[in-house]
Amino acid sequence: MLKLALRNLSRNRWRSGLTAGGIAVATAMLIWTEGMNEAFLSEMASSVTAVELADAQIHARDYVEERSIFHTFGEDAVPLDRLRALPAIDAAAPRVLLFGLIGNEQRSRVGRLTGVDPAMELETTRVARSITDGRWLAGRPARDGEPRECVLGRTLAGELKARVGSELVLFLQAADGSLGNDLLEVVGIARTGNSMLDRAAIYLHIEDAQFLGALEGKWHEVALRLDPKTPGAESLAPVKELLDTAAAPDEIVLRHWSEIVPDLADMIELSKRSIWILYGILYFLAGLCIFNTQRMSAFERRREFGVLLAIGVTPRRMAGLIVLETVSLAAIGGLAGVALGSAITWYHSAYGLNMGAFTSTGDGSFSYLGVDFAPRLYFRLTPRMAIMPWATLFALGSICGLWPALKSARIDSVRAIAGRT
Amino acid sequence: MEVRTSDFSRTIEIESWSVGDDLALMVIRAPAREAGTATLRTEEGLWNYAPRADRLMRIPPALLSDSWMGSHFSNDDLMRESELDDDYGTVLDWHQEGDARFLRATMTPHADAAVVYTSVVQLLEPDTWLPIRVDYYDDNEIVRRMHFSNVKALGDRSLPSVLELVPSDKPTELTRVVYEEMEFDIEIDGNLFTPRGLRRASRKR
Repeated sequence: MLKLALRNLSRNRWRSGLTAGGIAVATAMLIWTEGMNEAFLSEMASSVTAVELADAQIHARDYVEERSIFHTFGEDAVPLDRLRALPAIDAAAPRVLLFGLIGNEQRSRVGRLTGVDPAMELETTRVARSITDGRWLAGRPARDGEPRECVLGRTLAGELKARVGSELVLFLQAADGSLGNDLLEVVGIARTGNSMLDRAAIYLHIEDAQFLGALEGKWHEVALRLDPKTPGAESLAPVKELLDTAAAPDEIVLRHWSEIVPDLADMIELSKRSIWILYGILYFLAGLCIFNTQRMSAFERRREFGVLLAIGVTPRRMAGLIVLETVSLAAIGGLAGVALGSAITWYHSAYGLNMGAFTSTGDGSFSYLGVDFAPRLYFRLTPRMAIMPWATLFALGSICGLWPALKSARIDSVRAIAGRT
Repeated sequence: MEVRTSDFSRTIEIESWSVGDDLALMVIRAPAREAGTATLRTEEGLWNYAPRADRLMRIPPALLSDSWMGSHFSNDDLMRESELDDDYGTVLDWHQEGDARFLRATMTPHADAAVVYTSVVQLLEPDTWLPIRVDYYDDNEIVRRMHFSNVKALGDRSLPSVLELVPSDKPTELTRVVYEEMEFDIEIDGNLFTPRGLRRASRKR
């Protein structure tokens, strides 16, 4: 039966070939698009969480309402050592967040100062690894009389015309109302991939920041990196329990990143779903293609079907034959598509796709919703992504073959052989 | 100058010089942590001086509405003070408050003036023309109120020595400026209002 079906398909090589080719291209395109979309969305989510937010954050309750220098919590409210010992937590980093005016005699900008523990920040976020010039902060704060080390966001450094080694003045209003001022030395320039940070971020040692802000022994934020196997909000339960036993459970708030920037979390979810519209259209086109081929082929072979029925083939067997032809066609085209799509997607996952062709900046880097993308986008490829389109087209092929099959099984053999419809 | 807010309160000592409407220099003398920090105003703009770093920094126009030295005054107040008579038209009339009668100067901005307040109303002591109170309006609401009191001899003149600024949205907060000494028509080195003069003035004492 299968042999017969395949032989029937090969009788009109052009038509079968074109249809199988169409299915192959549709399948390949589905795999490639999904590979790109997954890469795009995960890059977006990670650029938000990787350099700044991490997976979860702890703040003072008032800080959630109003991001003010005054809304801090004491270092004892979050027992860092016990927190980092939890299996759900990969890393944790305390921060002090201030706003200040940074610059020199010619120009100045408002910067967002983040006081960090250089070693813990290195474990928690990507910022220390996004330095393009110079180096990350040293492990210890500045000695008396020395300028304090800082790392600037790339755009901010450009606007201030600052390079590694430049000295800048910092003015800020400390928590005691006094006007802090000090000299900073740029030791590194970071390209974080987040436009907001690149434009405003100034990283300095947490003890320097505490001194400048008159915030000794206080933090604004603790960023948490969760175990990558369980990155969801539900794995924060043990953290919550631990914080409840610490010094001031009522004054601090623990939030997953999707609660901190719900807009972005929703946007990513929406993008994931909206891509299904595109998939729907591609599946529909592939289905139409198969349906048209089978209908035409069934039409042309009415006389042959009439003969088959006349010599005693049951209508059920004949319908089965036509469905089998369709399924074989979908299977062959689909397999070719999986091979083609996986190969191209694998290539782009290994070597990346140069986005330069699609952007106007020339070097290929582009920015979308505040996220800076690298010139090369590295695709994702999973077995599910390859098998899903193939299985769907396979099912679709069977359904599309059904109508011509049923129609042909019901023809009147005498009229069909006579060539009258 | 004393600043009281819900988050902190502090007192600083300031020495300042000014020539005409455009040149001014203010240097913080106490507390020690901030001593030497200075603000320089010239026709070209506003600068802050960081003594610890020994550097000047230009204050960008975008920050003019920010607080000056943590007080309820803004950088803009320092820059624009002189422009009241340029940007506003004034109407004088009498105003009765309880038993007291004051001269009232209602200042409304000219149509093309880029100003923050929709009107500024000053109450003046009728005999001496010394200010008693200034109300700053946004639409028909007072957004802040400045009180003058404690008239005493400063230099060779009689002037209110205490000035209090209260923002209407935070009535428990205030900035109080107490003038301890004033001198008028003294000789000022023309170089004072330059980075070099500023450094010298900042290190003095």
